[in-house]
Parts: sequence; C-alpha cells; structure tokens
Amino acid sequence: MQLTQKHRDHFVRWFCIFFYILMIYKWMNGLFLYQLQPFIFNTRFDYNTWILMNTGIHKWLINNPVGCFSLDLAFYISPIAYLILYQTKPKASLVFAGLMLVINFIYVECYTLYPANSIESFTAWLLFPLLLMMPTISSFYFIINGLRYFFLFVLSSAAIWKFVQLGIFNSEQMSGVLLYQHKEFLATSPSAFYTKFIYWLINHPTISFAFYAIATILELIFLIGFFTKKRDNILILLFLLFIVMDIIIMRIPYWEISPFILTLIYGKYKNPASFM
Amino acid sequence: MFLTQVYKYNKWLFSAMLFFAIGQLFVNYKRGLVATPFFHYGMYSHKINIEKEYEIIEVEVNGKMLRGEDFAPHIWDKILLPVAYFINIKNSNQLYNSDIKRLTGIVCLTTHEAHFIQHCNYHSFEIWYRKYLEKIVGHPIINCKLQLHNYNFNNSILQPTDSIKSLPLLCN
Repeated sequence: MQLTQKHRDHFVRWFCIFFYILMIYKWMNGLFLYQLQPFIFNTRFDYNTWILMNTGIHKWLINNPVGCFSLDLAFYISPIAYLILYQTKPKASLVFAGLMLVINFIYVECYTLYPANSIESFTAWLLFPLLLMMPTISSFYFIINGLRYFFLFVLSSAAIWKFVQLGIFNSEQMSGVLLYQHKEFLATSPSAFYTKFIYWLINHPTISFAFYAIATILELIFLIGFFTKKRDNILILLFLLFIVMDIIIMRIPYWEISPFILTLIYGKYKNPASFM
Repeated sequence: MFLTQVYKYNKWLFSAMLFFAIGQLFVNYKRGLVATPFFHYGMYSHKINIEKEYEIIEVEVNGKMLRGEDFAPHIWDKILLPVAYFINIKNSNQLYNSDIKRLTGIVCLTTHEAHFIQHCNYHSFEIWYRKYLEKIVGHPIINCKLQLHNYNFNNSILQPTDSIKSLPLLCN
C-alpha cells in the first residue's frame, strides 16, 4: 500500500501519544528538570555537547528553578503545539518543527548532562522533528525510511560490537555484567528475591551467558530489516521483548527509545513517488 | 536500492542522508569520541569479567541504609547517580585539559574553562542531596551519610571489607 497523507496524520498523532505517555511517566517519577533541580553535571566525550556546554546554559540551569521549568515547558509543550499547527496551519507547522529540533537538542543535551538518563536513549526525540519538518509526503517517506534504517543500525550494530569488542567470546561476560550493573542492589538488599535470582545467574555463568547470547542473536535479527520489510511486525515484537527483558534482567528502563517502533509501522508503506 | 531512490528524488536530501550515514560509521570506526546524534551503541559489548573487588555507593538515611529492593529501578538510579557524578567530578574536570581544549581548538573554537569545571564542595552537595532525597523517600532527613565501600566477591556473594572511602576526599 502507498504512503498517503492519512498515514502521515496518524503518524503525527501517534508521535504525540508516545511523547505524552512518556511525559506522564517522567512527571510521576519526578524526572522533569524542575523536579530534579540539578546541582551537578558530568561532562561526556561528545563534541557537540561541548559546543553546547560552551554557552554555559547547563550551568545557568543549576539552582535555577525558573530556568528549569521554562525549559521543561518549551520541551513538553512543543509536540501539542506542533499538532495544533499541523491541523490548522500546515505550512507554519513545518517551521515550528525546525524550532522543535533546536528545543529538543538543547533540552536533551542539558537533561542528560545531569544525573538523569543516558543521551543515547533520547535519540528519537532528537531526530523525529526532522521528519515533522518534511514538506511533502514523498520527503516524509524517505525520512521515515531513513530513520527506520537508523533504528535497525542501532540494534544490529550493538550485536556486531559484541563480536568486535569480544564480549560474545567471554564465557563469564554476563556474570561480570550483572555484578557490575547490580552491585549496589546486591550489597544493600542481600535477602531480596531479586538478589537471589541475580546471584544464581552470576554463579551459573553458562546460563547467564545464554541470556547474553540470546540478546546478541535478537539484536542480529534486526539485520533482516535491511533486506526486507516483510518481517517488521516480528521485529516490533522482538524489540518489545528486548525492552521488557532489559527491565527484568538489567533493571534498565529503555522506554524512551520506543517511539522508533513507529518507523517500523509506517516504513512498510510504499514510496508515493513511484505511483506517479 | 533506497539511497538510489533518494538520489533520484532529491540530491540535497541524498547528501544529508549520506552525511548522516558516514558520520555514524565514522563515530563507530573511531570509537571513543562521539558527536550527538552520532553515537556508538556498544551495550556492554566490551569484555567484562568478574572482579575480586567492587566499590559500592552506600546511602544511609537517619541511620538506616537505603536498600535497592525498596525502590523501582529508575528511582534507585535517581538515588545513586548524583553520588556517582559527585565521585566523578575529578575525571569530568580533567576532560577539559586533556581533550576539550585541544579538540575544540582544531575548529578555532575558544572555550570557557568555567563552563566545564565544577568545584568539589561536599558541604553544598550534601545540603542539596538531602533535600533531593527527602522528595524521594518522602520523609524529613536529619542525618545522611554517603560513602564508597569496598566489597569483595568471595564465595559467590559480595562481602563488605573494612575499606571505606569518604566522599569529600574522592573528588579533590
């Protein structure tokens, strides 16, 4: 089926639904900037982050509740503002999406400098405004497919790196990972059921390594997406499994990357230009 | 092929996509330095072995140690991350002299040192952290103790040793 304006309308609505569900999750857990009231930051090895840091905005936000609230407001209001413009003044919405790209960049850069979350998981919010900026259905088609390939690259490259950096050849890899990841939990909650479960995995390296190997295979399966779109529904299910297992085994909530599912859903439609 | 279709549709869009793809591959090839939104998605790909010793952050509130089992994963991270960041101030500051000045100099960008450096002021940090933690635990905090405790991985479990590092000494 050909990609149409109707699909694009649905996409924009789903984009907002994902964004606001994650917003509620963050607000309920005190993860807005104004709730975190950051005091400290950690400089990462990221060239573009340094350029932003050179403006001093991340330091200006420290001990600045009004500044934090204003940035929260700008970040969380922009998708709904975009949606309203998209439905009433489509041309203005394209310009607004450009502004959203800048807002999201500043917000995500600052937010992840503070003790909150890693920047890699916010890639969807950094890149999706590009899609919203596209003036025609054809350019929308190419960008959503570009983002689909990017998403496939993120997961499949994680598998390839496990071979390049030799993690997959280390039989005690997952036991080492579990100890590193959960050390504070294990030390402070020695009698918890979860501690017993994690210790059991650590002390059975073959079984824990099986989890690591399964995760690697699961990531490798995403390579299929580069050759066919026919298996995208399976990839969606595998990705959801990946997120759930990340929470159960690693206690890493990876929800923020979930909007990329939309690229698998809408990427399956055919190029409208080829029908002209 | 997808990129051929993009090329036929719009050369500018094709150039932008090619730039993005090359940027992503370059960052992966170089490892180390990244530039948002070009990241390296390693996800525990380097070799990690079981160590003999582990340094563990301990947070004691009103004489009682906070336990991981009492908090959801993201809340537990919220408790530990600021302390980990405080411990890492020295490394974070060192990055300015070791790399930032040099690498931004390549594109003639003048950097302001003050924007990259933080002072190791434990007293201020503790005041802020206590308020921050009160919102998480939901009750007033009279006493808050933070430390980095050495544990040995012996007989299949983590066991505390006598080696305890005080936080103020760590970031100086």
